[in-house]
Amino acid sequence: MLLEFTEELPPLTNEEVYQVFANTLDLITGFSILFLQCSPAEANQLIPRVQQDLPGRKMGVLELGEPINNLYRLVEARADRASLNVLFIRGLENSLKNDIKPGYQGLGDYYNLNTVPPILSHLNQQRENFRDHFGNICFVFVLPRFAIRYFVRRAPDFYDWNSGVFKIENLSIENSITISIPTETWYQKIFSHFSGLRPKSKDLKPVQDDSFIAFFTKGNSLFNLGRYEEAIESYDRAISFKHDKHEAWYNRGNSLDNLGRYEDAIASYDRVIAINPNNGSTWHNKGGTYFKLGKYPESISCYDQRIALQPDRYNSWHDKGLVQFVTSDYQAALASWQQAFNYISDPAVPRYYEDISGLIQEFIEELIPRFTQPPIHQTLLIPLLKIYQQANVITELGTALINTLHLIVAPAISDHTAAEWLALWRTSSLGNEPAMELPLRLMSTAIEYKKDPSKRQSLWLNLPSEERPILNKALKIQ
Amino acid sequence: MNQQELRRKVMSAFEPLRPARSDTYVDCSSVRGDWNILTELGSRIVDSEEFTCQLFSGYKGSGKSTELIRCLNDYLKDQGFLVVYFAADNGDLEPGDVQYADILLSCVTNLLKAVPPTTAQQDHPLMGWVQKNWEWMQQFIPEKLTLEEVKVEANLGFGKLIATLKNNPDRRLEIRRKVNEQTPNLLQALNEFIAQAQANLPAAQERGIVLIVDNLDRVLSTEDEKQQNWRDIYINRSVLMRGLHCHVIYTVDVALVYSNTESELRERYGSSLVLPMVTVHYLDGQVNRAGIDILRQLVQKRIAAIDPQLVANMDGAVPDSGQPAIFASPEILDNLCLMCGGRMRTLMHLMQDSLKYNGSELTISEKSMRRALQEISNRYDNELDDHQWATLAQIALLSDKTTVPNNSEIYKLLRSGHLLEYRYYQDQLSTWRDVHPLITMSRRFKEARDKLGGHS
Repeated sequence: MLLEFTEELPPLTNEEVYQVFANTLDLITGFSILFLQCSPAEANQLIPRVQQDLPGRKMGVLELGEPINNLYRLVEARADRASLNVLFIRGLENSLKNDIKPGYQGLGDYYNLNTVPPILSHLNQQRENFRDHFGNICFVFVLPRFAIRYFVRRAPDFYDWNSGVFKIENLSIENSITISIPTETWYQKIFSHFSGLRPKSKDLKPVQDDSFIAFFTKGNSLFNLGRYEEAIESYDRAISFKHDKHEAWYNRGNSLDNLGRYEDAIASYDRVIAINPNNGSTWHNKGGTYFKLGKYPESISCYDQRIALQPDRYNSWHDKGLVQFVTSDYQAALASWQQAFNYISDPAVPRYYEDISGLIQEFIEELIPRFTQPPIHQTLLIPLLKIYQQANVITELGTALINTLHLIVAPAISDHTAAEWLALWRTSSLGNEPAMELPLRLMSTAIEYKKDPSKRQSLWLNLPSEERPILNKALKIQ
Repeated sequence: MNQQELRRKVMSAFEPLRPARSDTYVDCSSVRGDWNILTELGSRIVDSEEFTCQLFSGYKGSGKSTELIRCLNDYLKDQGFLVVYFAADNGDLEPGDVQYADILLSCVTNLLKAVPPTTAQQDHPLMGWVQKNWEWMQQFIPEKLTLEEVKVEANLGFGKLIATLKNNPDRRLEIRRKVNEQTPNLLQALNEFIAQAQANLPAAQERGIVLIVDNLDRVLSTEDEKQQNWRDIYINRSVLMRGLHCHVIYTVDVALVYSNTESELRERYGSSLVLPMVTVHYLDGQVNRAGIDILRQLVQKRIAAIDPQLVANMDGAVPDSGQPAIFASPEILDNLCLMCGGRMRTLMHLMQDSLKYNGSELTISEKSMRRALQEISNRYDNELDDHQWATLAQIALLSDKTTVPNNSEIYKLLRSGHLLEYRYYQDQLSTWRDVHPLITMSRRFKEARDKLGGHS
């Protein structure tokens, strides 16, 4: 009688998460608690979008800059509280930051039982009051990852009431650094450190250095497991032995960024820069962190620093273009992308990033929610397609279009909008390119299927048989 | 009703934050190891010649409040009692910082609310107490109130005092010190008041008052540094806690029931009762059809409360019925019932999530059910620490799950709902604990289990 599941479903993409989120806000009619894990910049985009997508829901935003210890009163004081359906609470993480102290106890003092931030004990204990007095409001707590982990551990009763946790993942960052050490001594050092045995060989370096390497390496393993709090602890210990190793500060910055502790990540990257201002990845990742904070000018100047050091790293050009695109500076975005694709198409420049279509896909995903705005088509898309053509990345563009098909046929997108998307590509200057033939055929079939799923069989039969599984995979049909 | 409205109705029917309504309540005692709140808590009250004082406990989201409100309340009313129920965290008390004086004041106001003295009884014993103590009480009340005004509405004085206690942490110490000084005579006045009230109850309530203090487990912090606090209340002040001249049920944190305080608690309150999960599987892991069916009934009642006609189409649309199906096939709901582990709140969450992942459809498909299960299980990856994963994996690999040890680590996991406790009664009672089934789906659990060499 019970179903067996052997394989896992593929993880949800950011756009799919958004659509489930919007669907949830549409379904919830009374008091509810949701958590949205994303960066401030993502929230800047997402909140207006969901307001537009759900015009029937009255939404408000409560921005918290300073630490607070009573949320109830702030909500109570809002003039619009009786008419709201949804209230986004932003910046609550500011009330938790004072609680973060360095420590060497596994998960650190993060979730230390002795120090419940006052706001969390307030929420934990007032949940019935929220429910009984704000019965019309669906509360959406917009928080970075570390803050959600705080809720899980330090406000379990409140967290237990949530009707959903939605995660929008961050931009990818450049890799952490490993320091290569001759294998033999590496093992000896680690072993001796953790076993408490004294090094046998006299020619090993002083203990201080061993300790640095040991904790640094441990930090990297923890980072790779996604256990960022513990990784930070290890890097802190490594740093306590050697202050001037920029590698440790850099990896520490990446861990903080992954936890959503963006200001602290920037401080950590600044330490790297103070020691070694010529590390390009640091500038790139710092640019990404500013991007997530919604600090766009700072972000752009970091990318510029990276580009000044390593102009041929086209992902920095590309990400700089994304920042400019998000701030509607299309001319500048185009110029940045022009540079990125110049380097991509230059045979003399090594391919740092194999997945060019992944880069393009990031842009397509940003584009989908806005492509119906008229200026984009004229001022951005037509010239951008020329850039793609010159750079000879049409195959990659096609792959990116197939990979994003499920977004355009999602229930939240109207049939009309989907048809416009198809027309956009068909009538573009690339419409007749041979490499676009397959993507456009699949797109057209997918959109027909979206209109009437019962016609699937006949639609699929019109496709060459080898293309059917590609479409199934793109649409996640089993 | 169009489809979207119907989906919203289904969504809100499974809202997990409130105890079940009377029309959606299902008696689960047969699948909670014959744990029947009526027979256990209720009969002690009904059968007793004297006033009883009992402790009741259970895990987060297992249906504790529902059982107290729905089952016990109704039963005791039928038996001729006046039930005064209040949730300690709902209004009067400032959770996290609660002491005996606060509880006593809270009992006073709730009893005054439930059995308000008539105008003829203006000089009831509690009023007498207020009169004697008005001088200091007044200092803690921000508004200018005269004793005459307080006399008109008996609860006013106490209500204002509690409001200050709750909203003004700076003055808490002083108020408590005053109340503590006066505790013996306040308790005496309260008991005289209760005696008067009970003497005047209508025939349908002639067996007297039962006071139920729910969520006391929540307002009393059990963190180590505050242990002294609940010890102080449940153990050191047990004479006062038990000193009311009516039947009383207090809720208590599970961790205390299973700690080394257990014997001390039992000495004072008799054995505390803990509400187990619905047994959806037996000790050997085999599915318990009866448990699944009870949970199905629970879902069905909530669907029927929206529109009784929907029930015929629960597990697939009946042709020509003109009604949409709720689930595409019977297996879908079976799975949800099994995977919730018999924990009510998880079942509610799973129902809501299955709808959320269903695009704009009403009928819950296998795919959206699987997505709901997977997304909820993924969330656990964030929730637990390394050593907790190891503990859970060890328990999952135990050949005899009745031997899960009692220690603070285990209570923590039980309390948070990651470990679940079951009771099953056949010839004899067995109690066992097992890992929440959704956890067994999660990546980190599988890693921890594989590390221990288990591949079951």
